[in-house]
Parts: sequence; structure tokens; C-alpha cells
Amino acid sequence: MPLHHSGLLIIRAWVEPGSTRPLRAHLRFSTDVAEGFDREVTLANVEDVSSVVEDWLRGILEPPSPK
Amino acid sequence: MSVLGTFDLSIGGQPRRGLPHGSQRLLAFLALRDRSVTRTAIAGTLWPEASEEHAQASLRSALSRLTEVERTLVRVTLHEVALAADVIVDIRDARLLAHRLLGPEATLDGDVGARAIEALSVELLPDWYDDWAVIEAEEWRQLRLHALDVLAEKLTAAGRYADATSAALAAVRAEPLRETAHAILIQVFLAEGNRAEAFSAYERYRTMLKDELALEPTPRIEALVRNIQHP
Repeated sequence: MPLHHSGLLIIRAWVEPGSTRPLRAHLRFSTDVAEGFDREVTLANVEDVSSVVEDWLRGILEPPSPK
Repeated sequence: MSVLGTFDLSIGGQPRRGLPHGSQRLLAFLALRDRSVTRTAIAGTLWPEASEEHAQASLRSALSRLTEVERTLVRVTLHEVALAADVIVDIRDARLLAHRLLGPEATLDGDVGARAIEALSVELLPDWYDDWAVIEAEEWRQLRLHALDVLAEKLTAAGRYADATSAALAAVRAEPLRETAHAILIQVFLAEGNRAEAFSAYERYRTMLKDELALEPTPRIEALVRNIQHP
């Protein structure tokens, strides 16, 4: 098992003018880049994006799953 | 050398297999630069978590593991490394094409067809997770999305509807919830008089937006299909 692992989170955000909720944030992330990206999602609320980022950071703190 | 999709290298028409990972990363990094790069910058970028001494050693190792033939691809000096001027790199051609399309006086040359759409549809090294590769991939993504939008609009104006549809669909695939791409696709179908396909494209977008984000399309896209609600 590696001594440490690196996570990666990419947020691409843009605005859709005229929408009732104009934010679009596409998140692609991994808690261990050695395994590649394991999830992606698009969200339209700042709070939802913040929640996903917090969960991702907590996932980084967890030990890597055994192979 | 190809960095669109997967990393591939051919010399004199012969594919080169089994290139060590460090050497692949070095060549790909140089391929994305159009100039010489200092050894310090390369080492610090490709091996960011290593000490400077170890990073420099990794760079020397990556260079030394190139075969004699592969060494002809690089120009190495005491302080700098660059790709040889005669190396053909797919991303360079694709970037030139994208910038040409986004230029103020862009015209549709004869070569802007299926092959151009294909080049603009491919991600840059999608399975590479090095910081520099991820940043380059995102920059390419933004550039190609805008180029595909413009290309679809220009092809539509030129009456080349099949190619315009391909370009617009490529933009939709690259970012499925981006409304501009869907709007352009709908406009392509409307321009060729295909109201049923325009409405189907709108319906697919509306359904996806509702399923994914519980949202409705904006008034801008609703206005495009207002007169064809019941084709």
C-alpha cells in the first residue's frame, strides 16, 4: 500500500444566462489519481458544489482501499 | 507524435512501442510547447514532488532511455530541451485549426470537413493525471468547444448541414449540459428545414436538463422552437 495518495478535483463552471439557476459546475474527481477519475457530476447550486467538495476532501483523508 | 486521445509515436512511419513512461511524459510535455524549455522547468513540472536534484536526475534518466532513433526527436543543450523542428504533432495542427476558426476573418477552407471535426472532437491525453497534463487538457477542451461552436455556425451558413450537424453534436458530446451547443444544433436543423429533428434535439436537451438538474431550458432556447412545438 502506498504511504500516501493524491486526490484530484477539477471544477469547470460556467453561467447559463436566463436560467432560473444559472450556475453550471461540472466536477470530475478522484480521491486517488492512481485509480483515475472515479466520478463526475454537473450541479447548479453553490451549496451542492460545496457539499461535494467537502465530501471529496473527507474521502482524501480516508486510507486507500486495499487492492 | 499524437497526444490527442492516446499517446502515440511513429518515426519514419514505424510505430514506436514500449517507450518508458518517463520518456513518454517528457516527449508529450515538449510536444505541447512550441519552444525550448529549460531543464529546470521541465524537471519541476514533470516531477513536482521530487527534490530538484532528484527531478533533474529523473529528466536525465528519461532522456537517456530514449533509443538512438528516438533521440533524433529532441534537441538537447546544457540548459534546455526542445522537440526537433521536424516532428509533426497532432495537437499543434489542431490548435492552429481552432485558432484559425476563431479568428476574425476565418473562412471555411476545403480542408475544414470531417477530419477537422474529428480533430476537434478528441480529448488531450484523457487518462493522464499529472497536473500539467490536466491543465493542458482543460485548456484544449475550452478551445475546441468554442471552435466547434463556430465551425458548426459557419458550416450552417455555408449550407453544409451534414458537417454542421457533426460539429454541433461533437460540441454537445464534449459538454452535454452546455446550452449553447444544443442551441447551435437546433439552429442547424432549422436552417436545413428539418423541424422534426430540431424539435427532437430540443426535447432531448430538455429531458436531460430536467433529469440531471431539475431545470427547464432558458427562454433563449425555448424561443428557437416556439413555433414548432407540435411539428
